[in-house]
Amino acid sequence: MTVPALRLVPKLTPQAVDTVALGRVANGDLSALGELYDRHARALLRFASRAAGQHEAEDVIQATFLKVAKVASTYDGRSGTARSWLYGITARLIQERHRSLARFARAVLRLGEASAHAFTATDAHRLDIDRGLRRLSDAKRMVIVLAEVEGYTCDEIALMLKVPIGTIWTRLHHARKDLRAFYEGTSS
Amino acid sequence: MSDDAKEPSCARSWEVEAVRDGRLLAANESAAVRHLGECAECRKLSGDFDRLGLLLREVEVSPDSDVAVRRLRQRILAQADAELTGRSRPSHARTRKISLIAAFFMILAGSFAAFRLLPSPTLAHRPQTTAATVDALAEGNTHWSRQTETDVERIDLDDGTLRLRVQRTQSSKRVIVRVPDGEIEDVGTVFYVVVAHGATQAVGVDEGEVVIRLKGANPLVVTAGHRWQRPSDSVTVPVESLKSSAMPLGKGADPEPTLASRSTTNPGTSDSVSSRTERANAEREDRAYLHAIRLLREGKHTEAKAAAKEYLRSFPDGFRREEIGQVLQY
Ligand SMILES: [Zn+2]
Repeated sequence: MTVPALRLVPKLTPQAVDTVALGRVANGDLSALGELYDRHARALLRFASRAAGQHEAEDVIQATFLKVAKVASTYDGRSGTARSWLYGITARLIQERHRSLARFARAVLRLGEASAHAFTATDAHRLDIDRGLRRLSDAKRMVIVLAEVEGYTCDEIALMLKVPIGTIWTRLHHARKDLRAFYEGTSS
Repeated sequence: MSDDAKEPSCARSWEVEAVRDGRLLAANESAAVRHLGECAECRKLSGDFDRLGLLLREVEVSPDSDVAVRRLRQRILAQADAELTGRSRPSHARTRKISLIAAFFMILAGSFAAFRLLPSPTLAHRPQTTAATVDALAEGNTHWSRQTETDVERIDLDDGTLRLRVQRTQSSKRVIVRVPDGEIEDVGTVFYVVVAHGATQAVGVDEGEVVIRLKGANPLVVTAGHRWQRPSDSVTVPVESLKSSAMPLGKGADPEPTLASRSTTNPGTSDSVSSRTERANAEREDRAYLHAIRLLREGKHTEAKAAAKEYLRSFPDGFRREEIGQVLQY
C-alpha cells in the first residue's frame, strides 16, 4: 500500500532523490541510507536472487548497503544513475563472493546437473531456463541477467562491473549461446 | 532437435545480436534492421533472443516477505550505524560500543580463551567436587575477578562484558557469575554477560543454559541460542551495541525482560521468540499505520491525527514515522 497523497515535498525525479540521498549518506545521515533501501532493496534482492541464488540474496544486499554507507561520497552522477550504481555494487559483491566460493559452487552445480537430465517434461521451458541460468558461469549469468532481466545496456553493465565493453559483449554472446543450447537441447 | 537454428547460414546473422547489444554504429544499425526485414532466418534468430529474454524475466524469484525486508533493513542500519560511529564519532560511549562489537566478533571467529582460570589448588582436599574449566574472554575495560570457594567457582563482574566457556562434569563445582544486581549461574555452557551502569544489561547463551537471578525479579533460565536483555527503557548503550550485531533492534515497547534469539548470521530464519515478537510488533506497527492512513483517506482528519499520535507514541522509532508526521500536518 503506497501513500502518494501524503507526498507533500516537491516532485523530484527518482534519480535526483537518490543523488540527494547519497549525498546525505556521505555526510553520515543514515536515515538517507534507509530511504535508499526502501526504494531499491526489493529490486536488488530480486536481482541478487537471480544472479547469485535466493539463499545469498540477503547477505549480498546487506553487504551492498553497508558498502554504500562507506562509499556514498564516491558517487558522482556522471557514471550512470544511482540505481545502476547500486546494481554495480551488488553485482561486484556477488562476483567477489563467488570468486572465493567458486569451487564450492561448482561442486553444488554439478550435483544439480546430475538430476537435471532426468527431467523430461515438455512444457517446462521456464524451469529449463532457470536450470540453464544456474548452469552458466557466474560471469555470464551476471551479464545476461543485467542485460535481459534488468534491462541495462552493455555500456552501463561495463561501467557497473568495471570491465571493458568488449568483454560484456563476449560474455553476453556466450551466455545466450549456452542458454539456447541448453533450452533447445532439453525442450525438443 | 534444432541444430540448424544454432548454426545460421546467413552471413549477417551476427548483426542480430550486435544490434541488440548496441555494438553497431548508427548507420550500420539501420542497415542491420533493414536486413532483418528481409531475412527470415535473422528474424527468427531475433525472435529467439526476444523469447529468451522473456523467459529469463519470468524465472521465478519468490519475493521476500515484508517482514524479511524490514528485518534486513534493521540489520543494515544498525550495523552501518555501528561502523559509521566507530569511524567518525569517537566518544567514550561509542568507542565502548565498537569494542563490544569487536569482542563479539572475536568470539564468532573462535578466538576464545584469552584468559584461562586454572583449577584452584585448594580443591585437593575436596575430591567430591572438582573445578570446572572456565575460559573467560573479557572485553577491553571490563572489571572482573575470580575466586574459588569451597563449592563454587565465583566470578565477580562489576562492569563490562565477559564471555565464558565452562566445561564441567557432574562433580564439578557450581560456577556463578556475580553481578552488581544479582548472579548468573552456569549449568555447563558457553555464554556472555554484559554489565553496565551497575546493572546487568544482557546475558546470551550459545550452548547449554544459565540461570539468572536478579534482585527483585524471578529467576530466569536462558537456554542455548537465546539472550536475555534488560528492557529498553533503561540506559543501555552497551546492550544496543550488542543488539546491532547480534539481533535486530526490537523497537516495540516490551515492558518485560525478553528472551531473544542471538542467531547472528541469519536471524531471518530463526523461529525464535525474538523474531516472533518482532514480527508481531511489525504487524502491529503496520496496522497502526494503515489505520491512520485509512482515516485520512476517509477524510476523518481529526481521527487520523489521533491515530498518528498513537502510532508515534507506540512506535517512536517506527518505520513510518516520517509519513505519519505528515498526517499530523493535515
Ligand atoms: Zn540474415
